Amino acid sequence: MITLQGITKVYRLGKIEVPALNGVDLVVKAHEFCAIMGPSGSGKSTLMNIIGCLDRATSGRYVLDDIDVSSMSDNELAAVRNRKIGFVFQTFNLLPRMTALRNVELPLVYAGMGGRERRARALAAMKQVGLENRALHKPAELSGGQRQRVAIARALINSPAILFADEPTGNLDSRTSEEIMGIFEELNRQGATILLVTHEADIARHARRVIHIRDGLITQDEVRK
Amino acid sequence: MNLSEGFRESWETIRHNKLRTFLTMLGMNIGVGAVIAVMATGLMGRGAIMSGIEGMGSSLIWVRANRAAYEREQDMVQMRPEDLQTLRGLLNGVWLTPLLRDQGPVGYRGYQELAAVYGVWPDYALIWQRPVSEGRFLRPEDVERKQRVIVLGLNTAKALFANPAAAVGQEILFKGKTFTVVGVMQKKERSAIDDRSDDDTCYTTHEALESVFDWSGYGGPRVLSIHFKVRELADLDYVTAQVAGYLDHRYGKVQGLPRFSVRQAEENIRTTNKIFGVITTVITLIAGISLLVGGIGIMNIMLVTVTERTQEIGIRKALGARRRDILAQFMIEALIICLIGGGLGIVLGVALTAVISALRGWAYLLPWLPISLGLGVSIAIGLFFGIYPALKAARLDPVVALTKE
Repeated sequence: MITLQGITKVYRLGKIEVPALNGVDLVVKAHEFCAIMGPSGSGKSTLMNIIGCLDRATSGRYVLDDIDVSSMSDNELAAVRNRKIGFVFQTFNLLPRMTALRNVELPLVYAGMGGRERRARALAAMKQVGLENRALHKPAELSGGQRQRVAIARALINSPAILFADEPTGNLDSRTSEEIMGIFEELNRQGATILLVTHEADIARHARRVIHIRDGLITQDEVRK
Repeated sequence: MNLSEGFRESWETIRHNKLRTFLTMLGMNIGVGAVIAVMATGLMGRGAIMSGIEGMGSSLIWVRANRAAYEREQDMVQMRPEDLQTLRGLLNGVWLTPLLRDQGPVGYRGYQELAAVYGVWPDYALIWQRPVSEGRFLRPEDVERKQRVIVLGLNTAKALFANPAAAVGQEILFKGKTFTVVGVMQKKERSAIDDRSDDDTCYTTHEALESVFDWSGYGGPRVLSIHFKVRELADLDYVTAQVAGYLDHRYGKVQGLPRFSVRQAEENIRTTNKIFGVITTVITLIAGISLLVGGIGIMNIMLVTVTERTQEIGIRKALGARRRDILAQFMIEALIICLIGGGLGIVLGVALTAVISALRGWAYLLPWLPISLGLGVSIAIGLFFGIYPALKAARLDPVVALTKE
């Protein structure tokens, strides 16, 4: 599903080279629910950006769903993000001017799908997160938990190979956080592969596998029963 | 993302920023409107002048000394009174008048009024279509009998006599001689080709004015200019050649150039056309500067928009937008602003044109050329000034864009 081999990332700040990842090897199989934990500066975000095809590794090999994405162009990566990856962000990242439904539709717009089918699928995704009666609300008219559920619907819309959640509960109260994590667990039971980034042990507990990262290296990889 | 999706996205953004978009458009609006109004006014004005010249003067020929042939003005040779008689005898079926211009106070019983006095022949009224309101114009017998008669301009008559009708038959004083008033001219309507008021101009015979004109510097009485008008336009070139041939034969050339210029109004039409073309082009270019300013305004606001929406661009990229999707979105936005601004500018320009045509009494013509030009320029400006901000947006790194608050 996801195979990382010797992934390194070096940032150049002027003449200084700052290493962020120092050779990461990782395999995430389909249907896994996997949490990545690490303090800030550990290289956690860099790793997420690379796995999320938002950024490229300096060296190493990355195979996603049998496709080698390590040396793809920007436009090819955009297509991979569009079809293979669903993002859920800490700050929801909904576009404020659009209705919830239109936000959910957006990945399909970039996939070039026609309006009618797009709308039907977006409504189905909204139903899946229990917000079918909020479809025409703007994000500002929704609560934090509802917004995050819209974001999850958007991430699910193109049936991605992998669902990415970057601190998805970071802006939510604990009760809502539990609700959202419940949705992720349910999605995982239905077969979704989920990669969760968090620094909260409580949240990471929902995952079956927890990977710890520090100083650009995986330091611990535990699978719970 | 296809085009209609792009338009939908851009339209929603524009709707969201109504005031900003309106202010941005204003530059385009005024620019396009100004260009259209200026161009259309030029076209209409030219049309009015041309039809004016063609209506009354395309069969006209002017003769006067060819100043361009002489290095010094005092060397200029002028026609002599006997040439008038010869030309009169030479040309049949042609209206002909000499024109001698003088000016000075015209007096009546101690009242004085400054006036222009033209020495002409009776054909003058026919050539220039100038009717009298009282009495009569000059007659051939006035010329033959060397009568000192005068037809007053309307303003002159009003200034000297309370009632212009009372002027006829009275004697007035000009340059120390008495002239009998035989008529008063009608008020002259101003037209596109001739905006001057002619109501301070009085007409006497060439011969009568010749006798009071100050000829020092000329070496005796001369004929300074002659107007001909052919009745059939087909005769124009023939008469022109005859007049020029006669004068060349009688006076010879100077440095290979004819001593007299025999010009047709046709040439004036061409010259007028050319001058109007140049003036219109220059003013249009000046108006075009406002378009440039408008375009820069659009580029500026688009750059602000891109900066403001960096996060949005990041989100879109994360969801799978390619560079060209982002590029298209911002280009379409700039284009819509330009097209709406340009469209309103066209409305403004057309309205201004209509107002100008109504005020000046010129024939209104829907300015198709300026309209299509205005539309084309709007699109060009949208593309030109929109491309840089759009490229900037398209090239944003999704990681950087996403993390920006």
